Amino acid sequence: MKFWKKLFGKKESKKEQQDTKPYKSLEKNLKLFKEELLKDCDDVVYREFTVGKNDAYKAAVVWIDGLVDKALINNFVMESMMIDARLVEPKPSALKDNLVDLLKNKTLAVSEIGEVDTIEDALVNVFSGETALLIDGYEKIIIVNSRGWESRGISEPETEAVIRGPRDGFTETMRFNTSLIRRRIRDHRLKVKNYRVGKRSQTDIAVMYMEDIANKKLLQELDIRLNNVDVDAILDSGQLEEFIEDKWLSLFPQIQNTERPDTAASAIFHGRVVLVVDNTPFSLIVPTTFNTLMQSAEDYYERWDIATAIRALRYFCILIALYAPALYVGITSFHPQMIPTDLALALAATRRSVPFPAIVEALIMEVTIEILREAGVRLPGAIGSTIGIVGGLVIGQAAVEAGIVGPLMVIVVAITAIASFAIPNYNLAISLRLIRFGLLFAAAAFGLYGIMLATLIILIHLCSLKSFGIPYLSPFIAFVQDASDLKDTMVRVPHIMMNKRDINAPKDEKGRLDDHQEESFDIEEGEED
Amino acid sequence: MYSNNDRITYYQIINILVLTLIGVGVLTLPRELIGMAKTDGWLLLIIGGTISMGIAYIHGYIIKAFPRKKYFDILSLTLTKPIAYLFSVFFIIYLVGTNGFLLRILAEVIKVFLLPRTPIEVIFIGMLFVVAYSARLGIEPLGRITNILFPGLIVFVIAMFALTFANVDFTNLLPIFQTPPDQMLRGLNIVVFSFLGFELLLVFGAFLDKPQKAPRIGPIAVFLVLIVYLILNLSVLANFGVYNTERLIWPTLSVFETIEFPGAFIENVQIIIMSIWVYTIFMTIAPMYLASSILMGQVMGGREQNYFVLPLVPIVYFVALYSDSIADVYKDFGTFSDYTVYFIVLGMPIAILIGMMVRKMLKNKDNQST
Repeated sequence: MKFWKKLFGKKESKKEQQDTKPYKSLEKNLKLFKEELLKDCDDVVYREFTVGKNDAYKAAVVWIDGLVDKALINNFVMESMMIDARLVEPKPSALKDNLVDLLKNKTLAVSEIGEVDTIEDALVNVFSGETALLIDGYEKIIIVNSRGWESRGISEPETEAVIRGPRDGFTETMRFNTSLIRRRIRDHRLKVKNYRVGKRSQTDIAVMYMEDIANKKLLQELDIRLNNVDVDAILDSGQLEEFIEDKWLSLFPQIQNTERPDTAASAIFHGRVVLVVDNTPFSLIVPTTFNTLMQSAEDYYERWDIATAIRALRYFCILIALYAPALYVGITSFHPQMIPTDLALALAATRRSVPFPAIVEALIMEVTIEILREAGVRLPGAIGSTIGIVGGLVIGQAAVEAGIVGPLMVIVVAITAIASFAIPNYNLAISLRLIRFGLLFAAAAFGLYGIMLATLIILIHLCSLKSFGIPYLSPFIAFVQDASDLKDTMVRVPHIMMNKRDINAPKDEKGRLDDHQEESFDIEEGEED
Repeated sequence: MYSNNDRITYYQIINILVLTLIGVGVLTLPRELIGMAKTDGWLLLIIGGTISMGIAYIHGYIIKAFPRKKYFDILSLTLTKPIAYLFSVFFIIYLVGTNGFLLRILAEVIKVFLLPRTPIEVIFIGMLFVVAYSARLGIEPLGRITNILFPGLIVFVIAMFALTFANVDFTNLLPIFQTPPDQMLRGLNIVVFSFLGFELLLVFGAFLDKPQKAPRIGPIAVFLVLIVYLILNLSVLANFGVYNTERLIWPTLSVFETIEFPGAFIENVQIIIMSIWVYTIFMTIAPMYLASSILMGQVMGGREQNYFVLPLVPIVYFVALYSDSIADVYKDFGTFSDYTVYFIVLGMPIAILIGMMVRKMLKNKDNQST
């Protein structure tokens, strides 16, 4: 059934992609634009004019108002063709045979110029901010690069702020973003391949990779997956992510997103592939492992021992964010003998006035904190922090005094919430929030045994995940074969010891660093002697 | 590279086998050893371990001789198809039965230590579905999960054992070499049982990425487990002595009860041990369950094994329900094993070896005649 659907679907999409040749006559072309294709598109600007000393040639330019650099069109397209072209008389033979070449090579003083054969291609270009130049009696359409729209300047990335490290972040324009990466990689082996995804949105996507380090199979697979995306529109990289990831039913993000050009560049240096998507500051990085989601750009700019300690802390935070409420519920309702007697008694005393079982108590607080968090995200900054104070302090305190929840529960929930903010990747943090509720119910049903079973399910699921062929949990699952990959996981060893590229790089391209430092020390010692 | 290509590495299969071997037997092993050989349990272990290593070598040899061949195909190549069906079904019965009894023992222990008020059926249904989930995903995730659990468990177990040696009486280990050889021989039965699990190599052999290394896998796994068992036996004996150990139901759990953390936050170490043990039991049941579903797939001629996972759930469930009490479980499990194990572990491989020899002879004859 699916097979037939696939077959049928492909046929349909082929039908849609018709190619219309432009007419030879300018009038007919313009009529086609004005009365059929671009009818009721009032943001399209047409400008008809004549070229040549005797007004022999008719021409027209078409562009979208607001997407183009008007000064460029005025000065270097219109002026060149209407005024400058009249000053010098070209050879008659040149005029007769290749007027277009003459225009392109001698008249139009624009840096980038192209030609398209079909109306559809011309339209896509016009919608991307180019200007179409139609000439009477010529079957091709000239495309003049005139992109120039209002855009947000490069600013500090808000989701991945660092204390030490570059402050520039991606913006909504794809070309700016690729240039930010290119500035960091001055190497001819960095390739930038363009794709267009989305039947109606025609979103530009740039696939960036290092030719020799990136895995060939990965690139093939990415090509297939990008070409198979058959959807109306891609508005953000998040949508694209869902279409190209391995298991979209999974809770865990299998593709990393970043707002930081340095993170993207570092991924390219490791043989991974970056997808820069137009109209969003979030670029995608494939393949992604659980380990890469736990890394922050700053880890590499701080001293290695500090970075190692912070990494370890983050993994500890994951444990807290996942297990703290579940353990509280499990221990208080099933295994009070596990904790020291004094603590158990104190706990029982605080819970004496609480009329609910531990699971209800935990759910009240957990749901409250989730509501607070969601409310805080949507509100503007100043009010958001007020909500945080009101919610966190007042509700917590009042709930304890009213005897709905125990004070220890409030502490547990607060620590859990803070710990989940310590996870660098927001996608991962929100999926962990959801899993926490699953663990909570497992603990309420089976106590510690339930937590163990739930942990096993999570582990099995994580082990079965793959992101573009790379196991999601690598390098933890291959500690013998790829032992050197462990240098950049829960620890971050000094850069000088990270002398090999990780699992993403092909086997013969593993070398990353030639250590010349020892040699120079040797020379110095020799001089002293 | 991009599909689930069902390949496991040399290290992963060793991990799987080691974790499969350490299962329910570990709870009662010290008591059984003492029942058989008093203080000479270590000698019994070494002899039994050596024998098991020998048998495991034979299994590996078969896998090496038929690289990347499914077990069912190996059987039908060497012993004709009807016998292959018979043997495979017998193997499935053995795996499913063992799984059922293991699950029941797990549930009984959990009930005693963690969930005294929860019905036993609910306890093992929970585990059963986790195992089924893992089996549905095939062997690759299983191989990876062992790679994560193995180092953690080994480090933890060693640390725990080190703590049990805090105040022990090593004179408990003496005297040695007191058991007569005929009683030793009778005890071997139990010891070889406690090393069971390496026969899974026969089924998983088809997924090895380097089948030429197969003969080493079984012996290495058994050897690692032998070391763990020796330390365990040493620790239990040194802590309790012969006469106390005999009266303990689960001496392995009791020995960890002796651990005292000075100024510890956690009152009851036993619960943590229980948690760890749940993982090792999972790692015993899950590979067996997977193996049974794989064999089912081979017998039925299915290309994917995961369709055969869920139909096995009710069968395992009823086997787990079969016995009445914990004592009956051990008795029934023993009887069941007596009827099946020898043939699975020893009979079938030897039959395959004979089949291989016959095939070779026939081939030689053909070559000579032509």
